[in-house]
Amino acid sequence: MTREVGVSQPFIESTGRRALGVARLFRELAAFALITLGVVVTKLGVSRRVVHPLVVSEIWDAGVRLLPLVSFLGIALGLLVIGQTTALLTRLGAQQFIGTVMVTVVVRELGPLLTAIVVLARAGTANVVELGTMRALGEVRALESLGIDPIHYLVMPRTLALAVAVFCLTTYLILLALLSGYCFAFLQGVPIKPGAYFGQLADALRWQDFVLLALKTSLFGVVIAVVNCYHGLARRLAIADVSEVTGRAVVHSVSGCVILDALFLVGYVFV
Amino acid sequence: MSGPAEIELIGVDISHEDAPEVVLLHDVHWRIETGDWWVVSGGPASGKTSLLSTVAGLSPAAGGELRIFGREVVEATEQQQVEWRRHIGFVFEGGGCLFGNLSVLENVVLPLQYQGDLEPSEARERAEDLLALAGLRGYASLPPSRLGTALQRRVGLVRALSVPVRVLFVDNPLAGLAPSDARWWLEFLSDLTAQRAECNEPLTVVASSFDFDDWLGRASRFAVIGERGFQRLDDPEAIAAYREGNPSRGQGRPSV
Repeated sequence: MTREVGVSQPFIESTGRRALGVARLFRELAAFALITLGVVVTKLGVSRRVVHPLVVSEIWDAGVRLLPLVSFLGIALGLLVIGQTTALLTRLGAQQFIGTVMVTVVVRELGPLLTAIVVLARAGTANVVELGTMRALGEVRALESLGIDPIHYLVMPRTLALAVAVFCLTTYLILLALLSGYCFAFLQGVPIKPGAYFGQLADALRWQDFVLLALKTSLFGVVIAVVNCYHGLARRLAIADVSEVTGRAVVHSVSGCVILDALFLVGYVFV
Repeated sequence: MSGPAEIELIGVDISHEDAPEVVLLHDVHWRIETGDWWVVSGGPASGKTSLLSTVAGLSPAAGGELRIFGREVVEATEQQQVEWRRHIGFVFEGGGCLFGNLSVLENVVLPLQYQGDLEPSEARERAEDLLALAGLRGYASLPPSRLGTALQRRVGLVRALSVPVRVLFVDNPLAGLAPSDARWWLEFLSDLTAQRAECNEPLTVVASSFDFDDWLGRASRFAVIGERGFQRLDDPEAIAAYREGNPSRGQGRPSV
């Protein structure tokens, strides 16, 4: 006869347990992030002949190899959002808001978040699987036995690379979306000249947008890298655990990026 | 006591490396001196790997005092730990825990480059020389997964020796090997220790095994782990008595 554990537990007790679990996860992730930051600061130039090529290789994997997909998404975003919004605003006679809407929707929100999710799906999950497998097969212990710091060799290159990759890919996606959006609007017969369209965009952009965009996208990359590396490395794993851990890492990465995005929303309001 | 202790255990409790709450050995007292060649025998799941892993500083001790190169492990700074890791080699059981995403050559190049910050060409040259010593030159470009377990284990040995080790831990190197491969290991380790002694850079070796049969006449010190915990066997009678009663004797392969 089986007992259903947990179903009969009082609601408050189970909620409290979950809250404690979330708090513990936050604490461990924060500790892992701080350790990574410490290693980046103190060991950036250590064993550079080994580590610096790894950073370049990770940028290639998480950035350059994603260009075709990001190009497709940038054009699709232009078609789906910008082209239609521009046409709609023009029909309503509200062309003067095109720049503001574009900057708010594409530059501040959709562009960074969409790019972060793409990088997470393509590179982040691959990182969890790779690191989790290394952990399960004892390769991380082998690194330690050789005096190689796993955070320095495995986490630091991924963190730096993802920060750079998300920033560069977001910039590329935004430019492509704004450009293709105008093209689709033009093809739909929207009477707005290129000079007016890009002039409105330039007027709607403030210097803070550039700073916050760079900061936000880089931090998205850091969040994705830290969360995925934490899930791949921080616990003892068996091969069978890797798929489950990967799923958990995706959920936590998306949550982390959304929370970070919300914090930046406050920044956009007050800066 | 023939020399200074490289590693010393004073009342150390050894826990399972994957389950720290499970203590396998209690109150281990062990002094590993410079130039010693220890063989620790024990049956399957007796705690050999956990013992070696703890003594090498890869896993924390569950209790007691562990001193590596004269310094207590729990009090050592990260820099000191990194420093002593450069002088401790560890050959893992089975396939040697090689890095699957690197070739055989790159597995050996990695510690050379990381620790020595060598030019890539110089590191490759030295790695090729080391692989040649172990009869692995022809396998340099292959991924480890293309090699059999016996050859993978040899790559693990070469990788461990690529840094200037003072103490070499070898976890059950003869398990599952053909007699010719086992003989290769014993001769390689004998030659290595003799050469290092001649150069006045004595190498300390700590190996684990199911039995002592193949190691007699080569290793200098013996210990067993079993129901009565960790026991040093200091005289030939004690070794002979253990060999007679060892249920794991000859386990896994025919005698060399």
